[in-house]
Amino acid sequence: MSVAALSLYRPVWESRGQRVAGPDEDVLTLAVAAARPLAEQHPVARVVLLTSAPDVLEGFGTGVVARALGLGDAAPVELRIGGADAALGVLLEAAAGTLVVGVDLAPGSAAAGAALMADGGGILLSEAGSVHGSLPMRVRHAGAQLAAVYGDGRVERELATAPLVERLRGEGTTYVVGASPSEAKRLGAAPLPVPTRGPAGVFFALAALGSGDAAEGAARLVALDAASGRAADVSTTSVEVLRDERPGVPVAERPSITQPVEIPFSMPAYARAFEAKIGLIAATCECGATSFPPRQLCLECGETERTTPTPLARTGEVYTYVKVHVPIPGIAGPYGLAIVSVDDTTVRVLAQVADVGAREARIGERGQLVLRRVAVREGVPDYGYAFRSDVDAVEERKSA
Amino acid sequence: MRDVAVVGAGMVPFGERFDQGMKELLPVTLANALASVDKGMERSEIQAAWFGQLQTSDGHPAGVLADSCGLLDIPVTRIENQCATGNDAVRNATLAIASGAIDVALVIGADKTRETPSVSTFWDWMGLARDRGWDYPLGLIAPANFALHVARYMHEYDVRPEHLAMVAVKNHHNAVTNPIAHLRMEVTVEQVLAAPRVVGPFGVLDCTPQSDGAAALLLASAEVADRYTDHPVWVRGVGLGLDRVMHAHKADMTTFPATTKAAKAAYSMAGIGPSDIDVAEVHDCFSGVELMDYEDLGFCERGDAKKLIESGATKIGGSLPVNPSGGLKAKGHPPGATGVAQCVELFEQLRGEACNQLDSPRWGLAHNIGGPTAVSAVTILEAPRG
Repeated sequence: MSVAALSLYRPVWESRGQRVAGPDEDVLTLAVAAARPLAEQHPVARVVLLTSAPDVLEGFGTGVVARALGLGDAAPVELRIGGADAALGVLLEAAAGTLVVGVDLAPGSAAAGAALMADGGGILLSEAGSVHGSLPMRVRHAGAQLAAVYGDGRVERELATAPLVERLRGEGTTYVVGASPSEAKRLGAAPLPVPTRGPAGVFFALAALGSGDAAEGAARLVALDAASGRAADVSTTSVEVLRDERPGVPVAERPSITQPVEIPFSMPAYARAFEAKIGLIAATCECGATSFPPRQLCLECGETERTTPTPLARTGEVYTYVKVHVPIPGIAGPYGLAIVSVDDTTVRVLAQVADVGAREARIGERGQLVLRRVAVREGVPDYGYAFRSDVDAVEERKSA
Repeated sequence: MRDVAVVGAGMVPFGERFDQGMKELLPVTLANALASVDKGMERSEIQAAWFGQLQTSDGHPAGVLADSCGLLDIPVTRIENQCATGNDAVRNATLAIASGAIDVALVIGADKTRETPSVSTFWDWMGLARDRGWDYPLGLIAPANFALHVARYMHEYDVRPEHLAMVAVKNHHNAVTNPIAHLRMEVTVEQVLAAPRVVGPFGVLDCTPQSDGAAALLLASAEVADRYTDHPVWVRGVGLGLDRVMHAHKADMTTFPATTKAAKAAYSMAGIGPSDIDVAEVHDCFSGVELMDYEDLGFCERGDAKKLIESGATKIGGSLPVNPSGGLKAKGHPPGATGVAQCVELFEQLRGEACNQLDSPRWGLAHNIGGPTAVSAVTILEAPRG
């Protein structure tokens, strides 16, 4: 099996050198952020989304993922639970055309990676063994926020990780994911720029190996999750890597919900809006006029029900913008609202502005429409598109 | 159609009326209106009532009005048309009298915006005016609803925050001498600009307060008006205009097409134009909205509102005083009452009885724009003859 292309995403918020998800980000939006750039450029047959701790179990929006990736309602989307070892296992076993996505939402390591699998070309992966041990150093019960931690790093190394790496080590250079960089070094592994020890880490590792950072020739990649591990031999072939990793902005500037409130929710209204809202699909009338949100009555010719669904571009320009400073219960603030003129159409979209604490939007500025969790209403996540400026906040401050 | 006169008008002070519910505010307001009728009017002479109310505090609006005011034997209709509710209620009663169906009508508007905790207010109000699937969860709160327009308007016409502040300064000044106003205090341009930010270009002092209040008019046909007064004010024009409800569907956000349509209808019915207007009470829920109103109502050309406010023409004593009562900005804004209260102010101005009396105005205009900037109502009144 081989990896034809990779895509990486990290939220903009930074705390002690690590990344933290925004208030409108979750496992689903992180997955789409990483996967969408690949789905835009390549045919995708199925999606496997792997994460170690899903934030939503029953009712997870696989249909939201499919629509957001432009795959329609028939593409299989599968949610799996597992760590870095499981992510490497999925990559080794996935069929060509599968989009494999790994997401970490744990505080301090929010990241997502996606890989498009092929039958050859790109980074070649071959099975190099697995070990299933048991040393429950960290145990988190379903529904519990805190894990039981056996706080003794030497025990973990001596009884679990060191013997495991020894068994799975290859003849050439060995790299380890699923452990902190300093721990990987103690285990005798070669250094890799991997920001997380969860399943997303495997994708960052492959991107590093496929970008010329690694030693020439085959490499052994060992993916750990406590006392279990999976190994693969990886060709250090150069591969397309799409990166959406903006310089970090201190998490203190991240918007937050100051006052919780139950926001009323209508399931029928959700259902009526769903296809157009999550697929970002406008209605084009026979007369050529396009409307979004889709309308029965055409804005131009006045005829009704002569429309066909038309996917919109996910890029555009800000027509008008305001920042909401006053705290609104139930919405992370401060937040921004923009009306965005979408490229290639006359359509405008009302959207929240993504990552407002990092940078506001401005009239006339260009950017993307990205999937975010715009609200949680009576416990139900409500997804939609937010505007994210092309201007990077940190770069802009540097040049100012 | 028959001519319609305003023969009485009354209200209660706007503000936080925690001591009075709808059932207490309404009968007091009606009594004030009846007491203003020069030759007197009995409650029993009212043949129909239109009640403008946006929220349903204290329950079924028409029933609460009929029951609390002792109007159980006449038809009572509740009007709800977002912030244009008050002037739309005036319009409906006017048309009923003009048609000949009735001779005497009560128009009353009231709202209690302070009946629910301020933490839930924004969601309560968004629930009245937003699509549940699309715009509602985005937090398109009322100030943002207007600020998106004003931000684009400022961008296209190079309007400065100082121009917005001038509107607030003017209207606050007018409210100081209006005993029924909610915010009776002077503010300076510097204070407005330095006030805590709310949304986009609006700080706290650019925004209307949340007010409780009620206002009433007594309308009569020309045939019976002289039973009640020798100085009736005439309802010469009424207009209602609508626009797209979703901002994404509005082609040009630097104007409110609902206002231009309502104004056109009202001017046409009155047989006059914008240059005839001597005094206007316009919708200034947020300072910058008053500037856009000047243009949409035809008081100046597109983009020239900043010159109009700079010139001082819209101050008391200027060539076209706007919001001599203090406007929504400082008099207050209980939505159902707002439009009716504008007409109460014009009634007094046109009869020479106002607290901030202008120099014998003949034509007065009242204007509301509301909801998702999708509805406007305009009423044009004329001073008593001779």
